[in-house]
Amino acid sequence: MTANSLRDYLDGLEAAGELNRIEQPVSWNLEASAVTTMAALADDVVPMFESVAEAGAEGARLVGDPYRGPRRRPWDRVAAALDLPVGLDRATYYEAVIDRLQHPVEPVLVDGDDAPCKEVVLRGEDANLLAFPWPYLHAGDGGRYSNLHTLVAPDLDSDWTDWTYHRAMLHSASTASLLLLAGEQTPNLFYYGYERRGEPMPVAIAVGTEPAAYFTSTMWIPTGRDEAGFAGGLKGAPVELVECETSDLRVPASAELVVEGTIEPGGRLDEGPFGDYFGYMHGPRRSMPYLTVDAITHRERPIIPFCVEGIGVGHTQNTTTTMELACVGPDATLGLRAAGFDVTACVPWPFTPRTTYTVATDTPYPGYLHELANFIFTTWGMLHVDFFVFVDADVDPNDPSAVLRAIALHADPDADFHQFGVEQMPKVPLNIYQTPAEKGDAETGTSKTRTAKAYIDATAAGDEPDLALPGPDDDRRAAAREVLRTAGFDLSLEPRADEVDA
Amino acid sequence: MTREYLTSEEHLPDDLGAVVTFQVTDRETKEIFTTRARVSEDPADLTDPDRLTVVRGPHENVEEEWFIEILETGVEPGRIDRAALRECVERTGAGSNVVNTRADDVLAMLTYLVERGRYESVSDAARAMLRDHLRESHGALFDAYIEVRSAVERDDLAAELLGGPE
Repeated sequence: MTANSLRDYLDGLEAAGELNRIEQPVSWNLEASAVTTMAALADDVVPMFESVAEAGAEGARLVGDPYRGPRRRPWDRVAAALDLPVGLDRATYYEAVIDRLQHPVEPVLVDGDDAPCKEVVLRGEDANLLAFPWPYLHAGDGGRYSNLHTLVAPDLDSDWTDWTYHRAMLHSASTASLLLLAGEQTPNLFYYGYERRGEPMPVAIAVGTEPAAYFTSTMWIPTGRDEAGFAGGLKGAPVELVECETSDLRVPASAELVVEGTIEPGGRLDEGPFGDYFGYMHGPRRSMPYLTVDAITHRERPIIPFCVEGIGVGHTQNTTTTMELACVGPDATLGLRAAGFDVTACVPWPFTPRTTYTVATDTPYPGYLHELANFIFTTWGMLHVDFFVFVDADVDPNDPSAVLRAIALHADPDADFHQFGVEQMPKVPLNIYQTPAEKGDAETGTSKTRTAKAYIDATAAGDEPDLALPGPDDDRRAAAREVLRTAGFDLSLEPRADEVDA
Repeated sequence: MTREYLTSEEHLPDDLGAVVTFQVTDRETKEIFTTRARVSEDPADLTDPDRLTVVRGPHENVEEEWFIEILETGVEPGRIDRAALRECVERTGAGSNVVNTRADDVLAMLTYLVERGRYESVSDAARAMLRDHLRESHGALFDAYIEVRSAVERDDLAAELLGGPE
């Protein structure tokens, strides 16, 4: 059954033996993130902190990286949340998600009395951010963070409501700065809409929503389209929304906790430093817009999920890397197909979250790949993604060795490495290759110094020789089996098809 | 010493006068707030010192141990600290009012504007431009300055007319 709440999802994990309910008191101050890090490094089950020392709100709980996928099959827990068949290979999983995204289901509005997120309603001085156990994730972070949530923000000129997941750094009982980088949808709504016209922007941070709502918050849903409908498509049923207490915004009724607030134009507070998704503590701290809390509503014993950012590099998964592979990938694939490109799949490079994507595609005519790159870099903007690798449709874009092989065999350094928009393209100031001076502290968040994007054409394009020697995969598998045989393992069992595909 | 605080070098004012207003983080609760405080590298300089870690460098990975004596914690970000502003007004009224800086590029451009007749002197140009900039970019400070400056002059005049202690 599709998980209709974070609690449903966690119960499902527990039933599958994939949740560790930790009753021993754990501090929000580095301890919860340390345990979560160790679980990720060991590819262990998801840690749930039932007793948080100095939690504030009675019985408030934490869960560490709840959507982190198993290392070999990172999409499995997302598939379980969406009630997709168990054991799908990556390609089949992508097509299943794409199929659901193609059939959006509009949300329904429920009364506040029927909304779990309003079991407790706090206003005025009672609405105190510091009364909840937001985690302090990395030694050196600028503050405590909410970084696994849905930020709900309206468009000033239409009925569009955008869902994203921009992180929030707590400053005080009533203020939190938001990482808003111009070039992305909600930041654009603020910087070029509300702030330019001197209007305050109402926002809501919905923490611990039902999984489908969070999943769509991470996706590249087109500008002007509500994520709520796509979340309904993902779960095959309408998402229940409820109106906020202090604004007209509607939030997922299933949320564990909702922070209602206002971002005033012109206001800035520090954001960062933060142990970012590249795996480094890297400054400088930035000036970012901030929200002032108007109200907080929550479930009894709210569960605050968090992501230990920075550990999802190399072989390790966390929620961010899993969302990139299991949610953004299928959505981006659908987006490219909808734009008329004949792509098999668009998949993030597994070891560098967000920086690189691989697109497996047919190349029906000369110049097609440049058109594809042009669409990606001009329509999508690609603030976080630096470059794309284009491979043939029969290359598995989720297999780094296959992609590297394609680059080594087919990408001519002279002709197939292309820069795009030299010194024109925006860049997030979270990278580590720009100096602090190059990053600066721009009013709209992005680095002051512009950069380029790039793509590598690693398609064969007719340069595949007729006679190929036996493939390395065949040799490697045979050698591995020989090692196991000599070690005394029973090799009569063949690997499952999905294990081979994974 | 019971509490520990942290601040970034970039928040520490260049002029560490008697009392400074700047942003600190409570190391226990991680609450971030603006405070009026006295700071020193020597705890003996302060009456009731707490530890203050100053993080330096763009990545804030260099730490120095300082000391802080918190005087006020409820200073709202962006709010003009009128007491601090009054101290500045009184200090500049009693001492030199020269604004001194070195910059080849600024001097060259200001000299050009003077030679083109836009301003009477480089000093006149710098003064006018800085005032315009402060009025536009720091409007709240500009308005508060006018009020505080008026209050200081009124108090001075009252003291002169009514007679103060000899």
